[in-house]
Amino acid sequence: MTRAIRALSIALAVLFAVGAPAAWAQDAVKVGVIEPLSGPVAASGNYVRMGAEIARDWMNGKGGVLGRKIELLIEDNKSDPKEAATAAEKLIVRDKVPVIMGAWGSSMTLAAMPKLAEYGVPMVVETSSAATITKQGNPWIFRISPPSEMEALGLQKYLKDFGIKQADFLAVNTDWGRGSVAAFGDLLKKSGGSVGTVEFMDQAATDMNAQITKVKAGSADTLFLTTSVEQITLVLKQAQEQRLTRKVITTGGSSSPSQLIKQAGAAAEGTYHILFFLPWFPEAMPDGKLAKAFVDEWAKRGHPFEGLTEGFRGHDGVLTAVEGIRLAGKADPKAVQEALWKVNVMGLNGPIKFEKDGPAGKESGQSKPSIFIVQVKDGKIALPAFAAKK
Amino acid sequence: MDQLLQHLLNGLLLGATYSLLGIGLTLVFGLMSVVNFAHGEFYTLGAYAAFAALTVASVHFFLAIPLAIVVGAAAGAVCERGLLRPLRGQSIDTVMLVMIGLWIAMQNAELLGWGGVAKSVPTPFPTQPLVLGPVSVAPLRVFVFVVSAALILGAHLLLARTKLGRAMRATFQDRETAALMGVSIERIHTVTFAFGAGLAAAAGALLGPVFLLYPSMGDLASLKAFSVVILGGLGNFAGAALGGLVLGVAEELGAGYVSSGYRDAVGFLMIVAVLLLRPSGLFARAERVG
Amino acid sequence: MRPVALLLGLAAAATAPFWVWNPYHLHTLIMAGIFAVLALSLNLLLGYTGQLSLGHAAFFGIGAYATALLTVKLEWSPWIGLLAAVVLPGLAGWVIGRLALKLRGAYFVLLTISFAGCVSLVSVNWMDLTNGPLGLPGVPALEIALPGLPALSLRTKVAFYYVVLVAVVLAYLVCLALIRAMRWTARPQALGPDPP
Repeated sequence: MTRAIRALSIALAVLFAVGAPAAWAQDAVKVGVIEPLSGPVAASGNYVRMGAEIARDWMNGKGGVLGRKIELLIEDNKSDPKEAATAAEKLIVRDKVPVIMGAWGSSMTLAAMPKLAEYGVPMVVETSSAATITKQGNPWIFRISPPSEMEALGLQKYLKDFGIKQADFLAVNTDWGRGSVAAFGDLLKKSGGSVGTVEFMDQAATDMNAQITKVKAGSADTLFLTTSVEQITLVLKQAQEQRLTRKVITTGGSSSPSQLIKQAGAAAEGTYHILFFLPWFPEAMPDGKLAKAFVDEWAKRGHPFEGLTEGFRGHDGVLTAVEGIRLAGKADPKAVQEALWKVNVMGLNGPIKFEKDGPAGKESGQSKPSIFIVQVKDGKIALPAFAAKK
Repeated sequence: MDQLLQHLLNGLLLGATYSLLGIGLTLVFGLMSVVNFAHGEFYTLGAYAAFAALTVASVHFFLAIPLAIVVGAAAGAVCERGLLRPLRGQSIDTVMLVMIGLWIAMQNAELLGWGGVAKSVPTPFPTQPLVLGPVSVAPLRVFVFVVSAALILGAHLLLARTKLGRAMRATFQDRETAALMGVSIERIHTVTFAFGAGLAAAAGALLGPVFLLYPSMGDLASLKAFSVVILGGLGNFAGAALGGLVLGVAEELGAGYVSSGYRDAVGFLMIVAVLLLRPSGLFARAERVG
Repeated sequence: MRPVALLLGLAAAATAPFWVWNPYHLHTLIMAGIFAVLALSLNLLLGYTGQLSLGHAAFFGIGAYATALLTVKLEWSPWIGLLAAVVLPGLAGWVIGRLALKLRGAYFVLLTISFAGCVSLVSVNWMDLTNGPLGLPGVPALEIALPGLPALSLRTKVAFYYVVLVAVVLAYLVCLALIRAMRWTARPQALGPDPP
């Protein structure tokens, strides 16, 4: 037999063998998870994964869902939108999950969305902030994180206290960063302030000195910073090096201030952060007991404290997805999608209930998460004076 | 004006490390005709080696850097003996593809070993910047610049003044004659590649604390190194040293005054321009190989 | 390749959607087909001129953006988009080739890498044209719309598999024809590893 025929036969044999449907008993209820576990934003993705695992274990401890155990099928999107789409395809087609949670970054979520519509599988969006995610008209999307516009609204009540007259923007060059700049810029203009310098940085960039020098040359009093914790660390360090003295406000909730204090040290002093979970003051969360239990469990597993500000997303995302399965009564994607509209649970961030968002007839689900602001003071996290009063 | 000065300073500081990267590559590329796409991976290796020394073995910061250089050079020697020597005589494309394979293997090994989460390197320097008139700079970056300059000078001296350096230069000018004069060609190849790898590792160990460590950090470093090599001319030591500074400043000014998004395009455009207009490099009149 | 093996292979490929049960595997075959076309293009260059281009991804990208921009922003037919995806990168290739083929070996490689890097940066940063990182979602699928009959969308996996299969066969035939034609004129092997 020629080598060609032999190679062809082997290839065909493999395809036949692997293509045959698996015959194991399918006892566990599977929930797909797509997160960046490697690449520039891997820290955040891993924290979300850890939170998801805690949720799974807690729920399995209480009997799982529909009398079956919950199993998380975790895929790495490598901080790359293309991989996110492939991961979604894999989870839906190969693993036949009834619901997915993901995909952290807005660009990654957007890349996976066509797959959801193509196959009809719902996804709980736990972190992404781009407005387009819920405005695109994809009825399989249910977002529990706030879009940038909602974040900006959350900041609105503190604007006077901040006293921002002109703000510069430094954001990562992705859907998230650009959306954030647009949302906060609009908020500022409506409140009588103005937008100064707007600069972007590549997701994988490490030297932002050029952008910082440009920002420094302007006359703004505040800098809005939107990117992952790794880049925020670098920006703060480089800003300190160039003696940038603006007020810094980070947006998006992924700034992990504890990690910033550890890695940027004095450079993080005085910075403000918009967050959606306060591990330093769990009692201040809507469900204080749940929050405290989560923080304790996190510590018990030896996970780094600084990951809590993102880890909670994994918990709330899985909680929501499983609740959808429970209300649906079966692990079927269409049923879960319909059931998700009926979800009304208390997560770590607060109550989770979906409202319609987007073009009529194809609305996505969007809940209204709680939004908080903290400040780094004397190397510790504190609620800013004006926020503590309210 | 202040802005310009700060941009220039940023550019020079960054440029010094580009020079370090470029020198290592130009030696290997120019003298051995090996297109070392894995050059960035030795940079990464140096960074992680220093990190390991600092965090796992609790070595002092100033010792971690020479240690990283040694690790890089050793890895380079192993690669040369194991991969390049058997391929001697093959076409340049074959070797290039093998080096690409090495690049992928090394990067994924880093990913496997250290995980995808970026790591921060602790340094003994204060974070308060030094103020020099209208510009300011962190003490760490001054240290990096000084050490880079010292290493570049040291490399030049090694090539120009030592017996080993003479042997290296002789081998690549005329192998047969050098062999007849008693130079061990095999050993020179190994030493040259190790030298290049060691310099890349030095750049990594120095830059690691300035930025962050993650497995794919070497990709951009590789590309910058190639830009520097093309700018300076293949095998042109002084050209690479100058080329690095030129690239650093050009990038910084481009990012500052044109657009920060197109920052990396500066390096690419320079490669394209030099290759099409002046392929022997901008500094071709400078002495070849030290 | 022996005729029997060739026929078996073609038969298997032509009927694949009927015996590859798992849609994910069909998806993999489709991706393999797309990359096969890409590989054919690189093989043409490397095999017959001896020059290695590591920037081919740039042409891939230009083709993709050509289709996306024409169909999303100008709302032209996806078939025209497909045609543009063949013509535009071809033009780009001609321009780059005129410039770059003056160089040899490693220099050529670096030039192609730089070109690819520039294309990548432009596509991410030129927001007005390409929408940058926000991308161009909603690129319409190919469909066959014959007058009098309902439009047949080629979006389903099976249909798209055949589209890709046809593309692979066409690409192969075009390469074959090109080589045969060149043999009578420019003798491309002369440009091989040891240029005259």
